[in-house]
Amino acid sequence: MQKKFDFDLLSDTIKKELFDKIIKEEGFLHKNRFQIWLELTIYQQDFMNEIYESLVYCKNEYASKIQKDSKRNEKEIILETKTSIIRSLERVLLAYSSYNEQIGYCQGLNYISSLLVFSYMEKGNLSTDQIEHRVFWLLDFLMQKYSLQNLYHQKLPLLSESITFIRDQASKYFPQLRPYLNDGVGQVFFHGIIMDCLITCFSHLFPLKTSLFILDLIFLGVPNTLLISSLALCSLIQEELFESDFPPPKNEIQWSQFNSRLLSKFKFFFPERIIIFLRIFYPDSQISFFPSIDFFRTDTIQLIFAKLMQEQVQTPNKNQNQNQNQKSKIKIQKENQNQKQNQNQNKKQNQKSKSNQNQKQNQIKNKNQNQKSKSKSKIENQNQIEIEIQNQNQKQNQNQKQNQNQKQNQKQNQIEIEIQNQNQIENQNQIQNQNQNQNQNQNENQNQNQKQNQIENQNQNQIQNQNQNQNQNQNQNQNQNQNQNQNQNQNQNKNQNQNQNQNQNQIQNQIQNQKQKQNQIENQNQIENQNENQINSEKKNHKKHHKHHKHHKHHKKHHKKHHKKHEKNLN
Amino acid sequence: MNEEEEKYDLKIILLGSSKVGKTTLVNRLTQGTFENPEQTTGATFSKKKYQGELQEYTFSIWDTAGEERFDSLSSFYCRNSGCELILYDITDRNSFTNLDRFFDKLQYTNEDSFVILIGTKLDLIEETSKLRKVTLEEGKKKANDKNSYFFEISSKTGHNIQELWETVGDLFEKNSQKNEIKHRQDNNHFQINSFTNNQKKKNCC
Repeated sequence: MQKKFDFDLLSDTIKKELFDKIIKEEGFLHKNRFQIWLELTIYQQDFMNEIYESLVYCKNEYASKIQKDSKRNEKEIILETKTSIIRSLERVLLAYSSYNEQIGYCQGLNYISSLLVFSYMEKGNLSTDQIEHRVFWLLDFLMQKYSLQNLYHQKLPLLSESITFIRDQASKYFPQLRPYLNDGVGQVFFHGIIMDCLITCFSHLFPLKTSLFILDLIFLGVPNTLLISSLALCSLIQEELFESDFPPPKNEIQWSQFNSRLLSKFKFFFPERIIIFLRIFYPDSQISFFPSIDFFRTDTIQLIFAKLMQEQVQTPNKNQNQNQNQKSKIKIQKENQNQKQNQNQNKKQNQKSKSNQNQKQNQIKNKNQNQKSKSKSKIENQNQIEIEIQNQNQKQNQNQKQNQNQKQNQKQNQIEIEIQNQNQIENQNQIQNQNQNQNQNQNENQNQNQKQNQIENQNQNQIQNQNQNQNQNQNQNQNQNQNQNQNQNQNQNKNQNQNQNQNQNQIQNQIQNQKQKQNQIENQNQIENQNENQINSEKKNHKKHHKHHKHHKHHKKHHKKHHKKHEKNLN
Repeated sequence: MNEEEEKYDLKIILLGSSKVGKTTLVNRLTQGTFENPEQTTGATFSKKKYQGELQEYTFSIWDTAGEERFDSLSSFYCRNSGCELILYDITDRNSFTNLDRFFDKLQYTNEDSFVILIGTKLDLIEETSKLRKVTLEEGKKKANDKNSYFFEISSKTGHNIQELWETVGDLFEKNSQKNEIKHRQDNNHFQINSFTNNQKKKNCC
């Protein structure tokens, strides 16, 4: 009945298209934005509208409050079409306070929804009823899907946690701010301004351009948009505090003067500043639809970025890992590339040697098969193959270990061996089936070649699995708290497993075709192609792993506290 | 941390439910204007000078968010405050019945701070008395119970605003005189103590 549009199902390319539409075309006030938002929530069935209609006329405890607050929104753009907006706003907020009893109504919601109402008013094509429906469900989407409702719960636990998190991070990134963050009027000032930004989704103090940009990020599913934007705000505050002509404020009046000075700065390049911080927090392909910093070719942005990097270098004692990661990112990438190349070369060599070994082994096996009875020989051969596979795996593992210079614990090895055994059991089953087929077809040599290749493939798959497991174990040991990253790893592993399964299926299908045709030459060519494909996939997998290693190191210090507290609640 | 931070003679903090007229009162006090302000989410600061009998003082006025859910976050705004103005809307019964949560916050303020209970929007009553939801007597009784002073004001017409401000100034001056006496007594006490300590030390040696 109730269709919910899951944005996660969209691929990154589609997201990138949407993002390009929103930002690159026609600046920030592109009208497509509102269509896109709407597409995010396909809530437009009639029965859903009935829910809204029934709620509009409910009166609850929040009614008088909403009535007061919706008149107070003084944003410049709203003044023009004020009366109609206020009515719609009142109705939407009232309906939503009855609909979502967890929140009810809280100050801040009126800013977000007035922004949404305005967005649709501006579009011009819709009746007020249609607008209200859409705003209502869009608001619900923000609250439920992106968990913003946790910010508005009765005693606001998440809000105070978020603020302390931002304060900790800010004092780490901006050491100059530290004395102002924890004491005196400065603390009250920071507290106030950050709370304001969080609770209104940056739609109160900032110009329309910025507010819409941040809403875009939230709708596009960028994690922790609000927290990162708040850090971007802190960077602006630091600049204003220490690099303007005015001395730092010393009492509450000077702070309020500073505040008004700061508000005038919000007009300039704030979205770009947020992008800088998003790039710092999500350095790699995690958000691939996101434009790079080069996209904004303003000199100011480049300067800010350079400055941030310098500041982090100046405080190496506390943030060593971060700095190293951020500064020598390029170097590490190059090194990793070299390592990957070496590994690939080694692997190719291993594969060649393996194939030779397999050929010899199979020759021996054929002899054995002829000599011994069929049933017994099967089992024995399988055992031999198992042992050989184990040996090969161990050799390969040793090589890889040497190449990667990874320190492995004994526990990890035990786990690996268990996993090897499991895989081998699976392989046994497959091989048994294949052997039966062989007997039926009596094309032992051909099929054995196929088997060789299959075994190779399976070995490679095993190795991939082992690597994944190794990485997982290491990650778990290193970063038990980093749930997010682990989840990402798991997702990636799932994808990789899918790829492997696909490969296996392809191979099996191809083998069936081969049996039908029984053309040796074609078989060999296809098998070669398969091997090439697998080598390619291996390369990709290894790249992914390396990225993840970097990612882990990079995020270790940034996110520790944050992951514990906020990951589940914020997007 | 900020030892350089300058302090004003008195920190006045405004408390009360949302939309009772806190920011409007601040605007009336500091700028003499009446306008419909935006809602306050954090706290805003402003200052006003008071001409005392002997010298001129500068008071800082802290305007806070009235939203109930921000209470737990904003209680530390009350630190070091010397005067609390607690506001309610005389045309809104809820704003009066909710007052206790603001009186609870007084534990965070200075020990010698004084409280003034203020009923706002008196101008609305002057047109039609039907709108009044909280009577004058109720307000006075509440103020008595809580050991505080009481005013009914209108920021729109400026009714009782001057009286309110002078009361704040008077109370501050009385307080500071008391403090000076206390301070002197403390100093004397300390001198005696230090003297006796020195004597004891000499004896010991």
